[in-house]
Amino acid sequence: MKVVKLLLYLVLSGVAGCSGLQSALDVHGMPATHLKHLMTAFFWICAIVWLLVIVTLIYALVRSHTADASTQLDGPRTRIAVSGAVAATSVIITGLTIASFYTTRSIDTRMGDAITIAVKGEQWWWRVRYPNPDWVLEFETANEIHIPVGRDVRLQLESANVIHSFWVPSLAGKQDLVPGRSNTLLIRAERPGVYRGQCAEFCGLQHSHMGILVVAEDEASFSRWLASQRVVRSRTMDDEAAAGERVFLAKPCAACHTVRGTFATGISGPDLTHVGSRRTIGAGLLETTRGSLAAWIADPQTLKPGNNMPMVPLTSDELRQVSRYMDVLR
Amino acid sequence: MTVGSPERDTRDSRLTDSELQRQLAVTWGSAGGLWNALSNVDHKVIGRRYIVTAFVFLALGGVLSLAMRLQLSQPEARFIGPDRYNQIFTMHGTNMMFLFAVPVMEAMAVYLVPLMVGTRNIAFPRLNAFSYWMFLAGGILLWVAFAIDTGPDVGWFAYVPLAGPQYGTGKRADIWAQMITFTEISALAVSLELVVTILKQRAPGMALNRIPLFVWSILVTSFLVILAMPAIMIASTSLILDRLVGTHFFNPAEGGDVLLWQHLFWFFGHPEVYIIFLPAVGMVSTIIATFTQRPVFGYLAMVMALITTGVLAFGLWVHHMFVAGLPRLGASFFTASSMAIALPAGLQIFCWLATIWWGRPIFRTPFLFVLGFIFTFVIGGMTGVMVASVPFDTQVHDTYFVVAHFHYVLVGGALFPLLGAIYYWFPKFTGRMMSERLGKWVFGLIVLGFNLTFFPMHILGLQGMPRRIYTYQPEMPWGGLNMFISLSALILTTGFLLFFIDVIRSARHGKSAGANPWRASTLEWATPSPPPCYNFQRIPVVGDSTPVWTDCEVLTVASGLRVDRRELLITGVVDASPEARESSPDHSVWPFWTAIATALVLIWSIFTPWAVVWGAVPVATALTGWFWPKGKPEDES
Amino acid sequence: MMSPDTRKSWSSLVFWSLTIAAGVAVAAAVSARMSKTGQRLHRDMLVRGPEMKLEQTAISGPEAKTRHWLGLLTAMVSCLGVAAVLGYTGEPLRLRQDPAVISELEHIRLMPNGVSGAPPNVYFALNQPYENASYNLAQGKRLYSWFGCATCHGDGQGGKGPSFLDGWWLYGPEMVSIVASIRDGRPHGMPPFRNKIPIEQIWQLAGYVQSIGAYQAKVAAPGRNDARQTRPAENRAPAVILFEPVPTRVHPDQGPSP
Repeated sequence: MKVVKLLLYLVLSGVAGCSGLQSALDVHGMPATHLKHLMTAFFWICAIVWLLVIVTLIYALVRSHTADASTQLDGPRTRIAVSGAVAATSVIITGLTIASFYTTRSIDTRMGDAITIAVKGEQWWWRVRYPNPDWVLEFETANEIHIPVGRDVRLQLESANVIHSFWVPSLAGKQDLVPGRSNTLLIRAERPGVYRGQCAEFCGLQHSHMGILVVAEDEASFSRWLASQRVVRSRTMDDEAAAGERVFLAKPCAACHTVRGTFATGISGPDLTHVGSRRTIGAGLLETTRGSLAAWIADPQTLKPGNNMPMVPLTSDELRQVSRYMDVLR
Repeated sequence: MTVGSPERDTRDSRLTDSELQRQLAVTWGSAGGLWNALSNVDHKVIGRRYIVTAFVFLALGGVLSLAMRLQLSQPEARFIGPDRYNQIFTMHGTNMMFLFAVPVMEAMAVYLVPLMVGTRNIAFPRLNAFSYWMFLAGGILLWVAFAIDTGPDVGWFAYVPLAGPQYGTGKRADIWAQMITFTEISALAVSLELVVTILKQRAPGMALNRIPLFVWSILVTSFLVILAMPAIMIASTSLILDRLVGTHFFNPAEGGDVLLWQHLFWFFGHPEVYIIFLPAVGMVSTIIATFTQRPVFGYLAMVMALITTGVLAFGLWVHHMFVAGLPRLGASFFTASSMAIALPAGLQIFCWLATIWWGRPIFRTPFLFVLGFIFTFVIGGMTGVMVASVPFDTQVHDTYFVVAHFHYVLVGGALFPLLGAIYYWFPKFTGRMMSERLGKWVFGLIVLGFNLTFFPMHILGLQGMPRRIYTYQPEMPWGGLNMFISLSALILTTGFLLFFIDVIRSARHGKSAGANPWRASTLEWATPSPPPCYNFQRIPVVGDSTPVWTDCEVLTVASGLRVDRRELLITGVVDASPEARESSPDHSVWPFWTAIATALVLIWSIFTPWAVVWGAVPVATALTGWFWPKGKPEDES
Repeated sequence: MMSPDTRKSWSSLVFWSLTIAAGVAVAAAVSARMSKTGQRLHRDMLVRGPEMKLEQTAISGPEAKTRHWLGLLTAMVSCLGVAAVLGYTGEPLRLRQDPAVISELEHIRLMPNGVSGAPPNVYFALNQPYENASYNLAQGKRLYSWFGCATCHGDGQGGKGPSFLDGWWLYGPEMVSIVASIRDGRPHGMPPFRNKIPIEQIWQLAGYVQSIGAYQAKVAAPGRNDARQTRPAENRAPAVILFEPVPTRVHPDQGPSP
């Protein structure tokens, strides 16, 4: 009995705790809201059917069997009952099928013109590009997507390596990123907020640490953010950060990472031009602070074993300077 | 065979019972010793080996799941690193699907079907022996590879490109693909034997409408294997070719397609679920009939439901790919078909309920497991309806919701009936009863432990926890439930430990069972427990679908089979009318050598394609030995 | 007015309903033809066909005895036990090398002419992972494209830089020579990558470069890339079958200074 109570407690607390970072039940976006309605309907219908079956089973087991020991098993009553149950089943599943068709349709309808954002799955982070016909205005970032509230956003999903799956449950269902194909996913946030997502298709060693944040903000802040991301080099740098930049450019860092406006133009790692402004590092692994930046640079293989960032030997001074530099790249 | 030959009459007609038993034991039996053990082709011996081996793999797979639960019990735990964890979850899935679930169901059929249809051995008994050795070799290959840190790490579904040449480094994915080949060969061989046994070796009078439901389920399952396995064979072979020889089946840059793998894999992978589930359905029907002492309601409906499930099973595979970006029409078509499969499943549940309703339930352990099955499997079926819906699936696909769903279907839907079946047929296998008291504890612990372990996973999935992650971050709200799940897994483990203890103890010290301890209706109970090497002293003749209830004291039998060679009675496909007497092959060690040679080719070919050429020599030699005419009585007809 | 999508959805519903209806019809047809054959028929057919008879007997047979199938169990478990011991003694894949080990990898000793030499002792203590572990070779292959090696060396067949596939190693095929070439550069155009690639990654890259032109096929090899194929993959066969009879296209300016 104790165990059952404990279970009940945990289940209830679990459901209550559903409003969280990344939950299909805590919805703030257009497709996810429709999906939640559908899921609720499915849940109740299925729960009732299950209960009916179990109640019938229990009654069949406990009812007195002495009276009808000789009753004909396949009498007309039994046949009618079983056929009726099958007919009811088919009505229910037809209804559920139609409900899913209409939900699919309503998800696909869009309002107005959509912003396009290109998302590329890497091992194990997300390359995000805001395409613009004017290439000067185009920029790349990583692991964090900013979108304006209330507008349709078309995510163009591609992968250059293995299959990944883009899933931000509070906003929409998931969609795979398949090499050799281009998939799209339509999302629309209804409320400002930060919604976490995670790669949902097994993609190798660090599949567990491939998070993404979607930051939904009002039109004004979104434009501000766009403008700030397009800025190449207006940051104020103290001596320590300037020294860090020199270390960054002299060491292997620059071979893989880009900091626009410097000679660092590597493209195999995430673009670091505004890394200090992003909320997390290591694809949702750690909150961005100077300390976490230093920890990550010092020993990436302990924090995220198997990821493609090597451990670059730095002296403690160099580490301090580089982490300072990363921190001011806002 | 000349009619009324003047020489010694070797037929069984005029022999006394004891004389007949002696002579049959000489013809069908096998002496002890390692050599004779390797050459044995008795379906009961092989079936028993299959079952024991499969349960060993179950235990090993269970240990892996405990390792995973340990790692997941806390956020960012460091018990197991990502590389080892990926191997562990791949091994768990591969082992449970290919080395436990499918083989154990076929093993039960290998043991039981010849007895249930009233014949003396399975069709193609040497192929049967061969299939066991192949299965064993495949299992050992996989586990030895895992032990030396070369275990596959690409998931049991081995999606390309992760399992392809560029990202699947080393020999790990090759081991996976080649292990599939081993189990494919053995599963195909067994299915062929079972189809022929069921269609041509039934006891006279066992027309299609008198076949026990378990045998029907095995017949449908065997056809599913025969139709589904070639798809995975093509898939795994193309994968091996891509990896080792440099073909481009799955390389988009050279005109290959990544999704082709998923189509091929799931064209096999979905029927695979029914390959595991349908035999369990047969077991449930058998157990319900015995423990309500009534035939199952709606025999025809049950059979049609089995066949419908088998047909629909091939129209569902795309529901594993709903988020891969397929055209909408395809998706809605597969939503409808995936929902439709709830109809035959529901029909069977309703028929069972009707049987229990009118019957007088006897609450022994096998029946308890059937009740646990209905309780659990219906939940799995309901979540199955949920994931069949495209929009619903986009939220729960590849999350712990799906993990919960398929464990409810596979453990609740197949393992519970299997455990019930072990309790039910154990007296037939060994001649001894399993403990009823322990059995109730086993049932309670397993059903409770299972539900406590897997039900919370539904919630975790909705809370956004993806599958196949080796850890999660402390800020995610998953820690409490995961710890709870890991603790519940200990209850489940205790249940399984008790089960194994019960099996080992009962095999030695169990109460003696007698021929028909449950008062069951099917033919395997019309012979002593355990059955003698020749199964039936004389072949039973069947007049209805519950022959042992009808002839509970005296059995109607056909006499006239020869005793100096292994003679079987061949009957017609539809009415099981007697057609001919035919001999069944004798013991032979060649299947063992052939399996060794084949295993050599398959393992060697992981390292060089030349193995296929040079390895063909020992295989050809072994096959020549296998089929060389020996001039024995078995060659006469 | 239905949208095409809805129409398609409805038509798939209709399709499956019809399929199921057909199944029900088949069931009805089969049930009408079900066998009612009694035992009498079989008596006759037994005599006519396989020349047998019908009889009545009691269920009897030899006594039950315990089977010793536990032997099989023991054999299997001990077999897997041996494997487990093997695995326990084996070295698992290392995703993170100790920093001290990494810095030790810098200490290669080259011959005075820069060709061949001895790797640091720690390399042998690790069991030569950059040649023997396919994980490292595959990492090397990734780095080969990430660091733009292909701009000069192409897919291994050379270009501006020398080919790795002609069986002709300008500084010898040893790992240390290749590591030195990448780290310190070579005359006539090979730049030093000392400050671009950390030393462990240089070793991985060297292992891969060595495997491109290996004379012998090895079990540990990188697979081919999912890209357009310009030559057979490294894991197919020793590159020796690709070697051209004479050193190819060596520009006069390539190779060691005289």
